[in-house]
Amino acid sequence: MQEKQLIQSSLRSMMIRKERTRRGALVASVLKGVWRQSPQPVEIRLEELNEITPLLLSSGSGALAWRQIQNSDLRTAPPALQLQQTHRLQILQAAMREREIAQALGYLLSAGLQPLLAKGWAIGRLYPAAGLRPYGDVDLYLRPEEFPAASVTVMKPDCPWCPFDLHRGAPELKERSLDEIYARSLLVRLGPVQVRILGPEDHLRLLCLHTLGHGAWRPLWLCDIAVALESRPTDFDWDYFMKGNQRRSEWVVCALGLAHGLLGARVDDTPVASRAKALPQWLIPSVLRQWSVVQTPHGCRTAMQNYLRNPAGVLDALQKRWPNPIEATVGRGGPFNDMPRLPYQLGECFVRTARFALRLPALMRTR
Amino acid sequence: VKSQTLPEAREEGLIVEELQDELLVYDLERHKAHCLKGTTALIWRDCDGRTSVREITARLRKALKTPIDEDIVWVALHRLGKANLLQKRVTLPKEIAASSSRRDMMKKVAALGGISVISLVVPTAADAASRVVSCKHAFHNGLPENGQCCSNGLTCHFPARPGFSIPDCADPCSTG
Repeated sequence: MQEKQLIQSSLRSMMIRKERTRRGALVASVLKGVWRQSPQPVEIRLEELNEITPLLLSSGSGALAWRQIQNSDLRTAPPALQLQQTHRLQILQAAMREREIAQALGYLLSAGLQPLLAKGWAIGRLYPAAGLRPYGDVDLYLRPEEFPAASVTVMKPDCPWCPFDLHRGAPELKERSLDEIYARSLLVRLGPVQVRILGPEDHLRLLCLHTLGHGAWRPLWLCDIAVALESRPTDFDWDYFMKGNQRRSEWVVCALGLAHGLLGARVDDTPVASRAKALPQWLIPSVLRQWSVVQTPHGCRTAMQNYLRNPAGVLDALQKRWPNPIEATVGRGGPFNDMPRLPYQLGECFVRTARFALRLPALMRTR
Repeated sequence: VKSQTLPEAREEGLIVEELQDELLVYDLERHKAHCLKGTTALIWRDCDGRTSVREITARLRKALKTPIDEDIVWVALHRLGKANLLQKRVTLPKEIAASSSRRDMMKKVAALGGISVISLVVPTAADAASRVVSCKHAFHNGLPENGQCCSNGLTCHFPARPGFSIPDCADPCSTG
């Protein structure tokens, strides 16, 4: 009897996984090549679009999906109209955010600071039209010695508002010196100001590592990798791009492989093509399963300490925090190979729990 | 009244973006977004405070190469005024407001592709990540207290203390 229940339960679990992979693959199919000037038309049925529209919207890919759907027969269908609205709003948001960034960055520059801009606007500018890539925060990378002054400057009452996310150095690019990163950075115009952005090699590497560090839960991040890869300059320095810790460089190649395998990013003209195409078996299905559900961004979850007094919902919260195979592998510094991921997930879970336990006395005191 | 009305579009406090056959307008004062479809966009563009409704109608006829009633322009101006996209609201002339052939006019309007001002809901749900960011930003700009609104509907559930690093800051802000 127990054996039968076990078989039924594992069958059900297999079905769920299969279903989630199918839904994630639908999301991938809509976003295939969407960053290009003329993306290929997408073939999708209305019920499928209905099914994935909440996933596209919640992951920030709604406007990109509209770019695909607007030339199809489904363009007037209700879910397509939702995507269109998102596109309209993102165009306005992009214009507003550009003004905010220009004003606030101008203020920082006039205070003698030299921040480096990355992700967000810096990658959004590479898409073929405004408003396709939403961006929330504005990541500024600062030299460690400039960081305290920058933290003070952004808090000054006369500093124009901008949702800056300040970084002390560039931890994701720890194998490079900041001098090297600055030397390879680019100056680009943003409204009335000239802003410094990461050089193409550093930016692509950062995008890859950032995506994997967050478990690749947003399809938009793979679009970013694809657009950065395909718009790289002809003198892109692959040796410099791959320079650094070998394992981390292999992760970066895996991220390129994901952009290729899931969204059709062109890797054939790169020296890492064969490695990017040889992904471990579990990797693509794992990403697709993530794309198949509406994810709560880490910072929007209810804080774990909230459950200390009100334990209802703690199981759900723990389930949401169960690390996916990608973030667990990156978190534990493991290799992306065909070995099972469970040890990394258990290890990551253990480390997180230990960190929380260490903070617990302080949390209890402040409540 | 009809001949004295010189509608003027608002310019201050608006962000305007052009998109193929429509104009997107964001009102920075009211935090409202509008989408002006083709004909309405053309009418709004002509509201320079020096051009009468009759002249706007004539320009529109020329641009669209279609016979257009002045009444339609009045209705569009009325809607633009209601959306606060004009310096001053336009009062519909009595004969139009009380027109018994309103239905006929709406048919003409529809034939022109509509003259609606679509209001968009702000903010978009697409930008999932921005909610987290706002929390971080709240911390950058003076640490919030327990229960204080971080922004975007999130509440701080944690008495923030100096010395918290930025990654920690995202955690206490949630919808819960």
